[in-house]
Amino acid sequence: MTCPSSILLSQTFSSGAPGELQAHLLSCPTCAAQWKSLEQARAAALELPYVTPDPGRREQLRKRLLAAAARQPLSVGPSTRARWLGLAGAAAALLAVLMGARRLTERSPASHFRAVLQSQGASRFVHERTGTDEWVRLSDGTLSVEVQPLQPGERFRVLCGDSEVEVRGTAFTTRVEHDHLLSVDVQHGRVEVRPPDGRALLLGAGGHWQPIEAPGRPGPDAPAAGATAAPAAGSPGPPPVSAAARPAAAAGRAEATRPAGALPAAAPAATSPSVRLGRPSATGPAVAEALPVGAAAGRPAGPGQPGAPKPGLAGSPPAVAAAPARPAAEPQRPHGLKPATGAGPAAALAAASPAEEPGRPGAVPASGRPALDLLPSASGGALADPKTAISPAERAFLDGWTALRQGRHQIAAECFTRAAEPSSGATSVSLLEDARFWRAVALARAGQQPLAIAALRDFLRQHPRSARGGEATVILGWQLLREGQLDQAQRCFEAAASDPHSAVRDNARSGLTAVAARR
Amino acid sequence: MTGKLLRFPPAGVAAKESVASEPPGGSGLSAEALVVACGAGDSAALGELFDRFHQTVYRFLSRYLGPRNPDLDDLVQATFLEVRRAAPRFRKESAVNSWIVGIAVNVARHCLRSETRRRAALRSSELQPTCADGTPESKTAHSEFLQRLQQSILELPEHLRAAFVMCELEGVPGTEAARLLSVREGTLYRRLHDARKLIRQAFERGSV
Repeated sequence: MTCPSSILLSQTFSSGAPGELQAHLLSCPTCAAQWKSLEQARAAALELPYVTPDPGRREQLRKRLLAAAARQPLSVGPSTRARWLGLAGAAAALLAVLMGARRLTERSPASHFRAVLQSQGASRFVHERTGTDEWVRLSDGTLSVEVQPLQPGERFRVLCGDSEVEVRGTAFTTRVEHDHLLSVDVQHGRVEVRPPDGRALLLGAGGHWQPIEAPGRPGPDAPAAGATAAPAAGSPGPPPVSAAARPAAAAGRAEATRPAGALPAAAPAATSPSVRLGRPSATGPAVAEALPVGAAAGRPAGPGQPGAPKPGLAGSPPAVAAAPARPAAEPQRPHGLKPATGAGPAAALAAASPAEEPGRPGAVPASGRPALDLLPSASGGALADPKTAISPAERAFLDGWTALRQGRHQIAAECFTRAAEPSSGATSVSLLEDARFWRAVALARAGQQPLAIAALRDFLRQHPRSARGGEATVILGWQLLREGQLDQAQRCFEAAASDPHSAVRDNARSGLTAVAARR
Repeated sequence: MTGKLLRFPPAGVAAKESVASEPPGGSGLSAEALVVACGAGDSAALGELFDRFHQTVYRFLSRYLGPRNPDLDDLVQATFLEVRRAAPRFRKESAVNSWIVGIAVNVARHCLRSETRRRAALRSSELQPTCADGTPESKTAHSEFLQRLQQSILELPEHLRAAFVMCELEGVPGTEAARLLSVREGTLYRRLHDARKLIRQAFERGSV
């Protein structure tokens, strides 16, 4: 018998060695050594500590579990046939919704689903909602999705196989075949596509995505594999075509074709930002209207309100005190924006942009790369209808993201500052909140501690009930620590130590350790 | 019943599991029957499933997410709530133990995704801790080795870690693990191989 490959050896190690291999192992020292190393690794791994709850903890959890189960009525599963009948009924109900209930859903913001789905031809999908998380698992077919502007804390995703599409207040069409995402077309709003390779991509109104290996539509700006952008202006090759300048397609919708292969491989999923803006302000004031009274921008919580500072923390930044005082019932807003790392991996969004528009208002100056040409400009010809227009605030925000991901923190801070200015036209509270938060982060990364501290305090003051309050408080703590303001830093970390999110709590504990070490 | 429970775990684990799987005062129902009853809304059955399998879930989650994960209790609870929700769809294609571990994987993955984003936001702003979590000199070489191994497992990509912990540590057979993770068996073994390789490389680099 010849020596098996390492993967085959690994497989047989898991599934049990057949007699032939056992005989081979006796005669081949190399394979025997590999086998022994696998055995040793398994034995060591089995020694790893794991949690065994003590009886008290076990009983407590058991009670909690049964109480939680009692609160959640179980929909007893019907027979398969009944389930299919139920699905058919649901489909009929969905059709009814599509045919006329849109107005009804707009009138009742508390309706169960935020998204209205329209199947184009036969498709298989499951539409579910758990708490504030709503998703569609699409196995096959094409779905058109219209999502109402989401309230803070709400998410909507389309899941298929390994891919994921996440939106906030938008309409788009997605096609899936055998659990493989084939295409995404955005009618209006913003959509983030997370293909299986983890390279997230932001699509604006009129944007289109399809995997590079899919047939057809290579796109004029499709670069060679591994390229970071389309040819620069003036270089040979096809002329750059911005989304706004493209003629409308036959269907009446311009396309910003963006094959996934145009993205660099440098942006890991965990660090790629996902910009989830609300619907453009021209059409979507719903986010601001839906916020609770105390959450309006620029309105700190009053003494009697849940977000009011704790008396015991008087003298500390007000927002620091406000952070732990957030009511537990407040819906947790998801991280609309995933951060870039300090190392700044190549920006997927910017690198994927097809062409530079030097004259475009709000463009990041002196960039080697264009910024987000997927998105139509505010005055953009074929896409200039009010539903798809992008406000200067959003443009500045997206430019800020591009810069942040490229590691140009100072420019990012300037862009976010522009996005947060009252004159920028940002009427969406969520956009203002995001812009203020990421401005502070960009300043911190730029090493401008005093400005970052001021920005973080401003953020916490303006958005005392933000779900990012804990994060901002911890980041503020670290900045204060860098500046040597140990007492204030400690107060920040202590305030964040009771944050509902374990990552924030962990970080706060690390901060407290660091403060203690400094003292 | 217990025969099925004892079928897959490695020898050392099975001995512990057999104790937990037959608590005094249990109904005597098989695990499969308990799942069916649970799916019909029987909360006592849910309680008994918890009694029998909570150690398995704790062990799996603490290996998958690290024993110091502060959300462990919440995740165990979420797993059993999901067990209750999914019980009507249980088709007896895999052992109850494997099926519950499969559910725990999904619960843990969901948790990881949200936590990863949050941690990344915080990571960039924090100072590099000088001595936080440092290994005390008094620790033995063996415990340091285990710590490094733990760290290397926790640093595995999510899909590789799921395969490694399920098959290597929890002893779920490859066929069942593949079905529970919705991948082909070949893919599962490839992941298992990659996981082992990465752990070995991490050790060779000394990065853990």
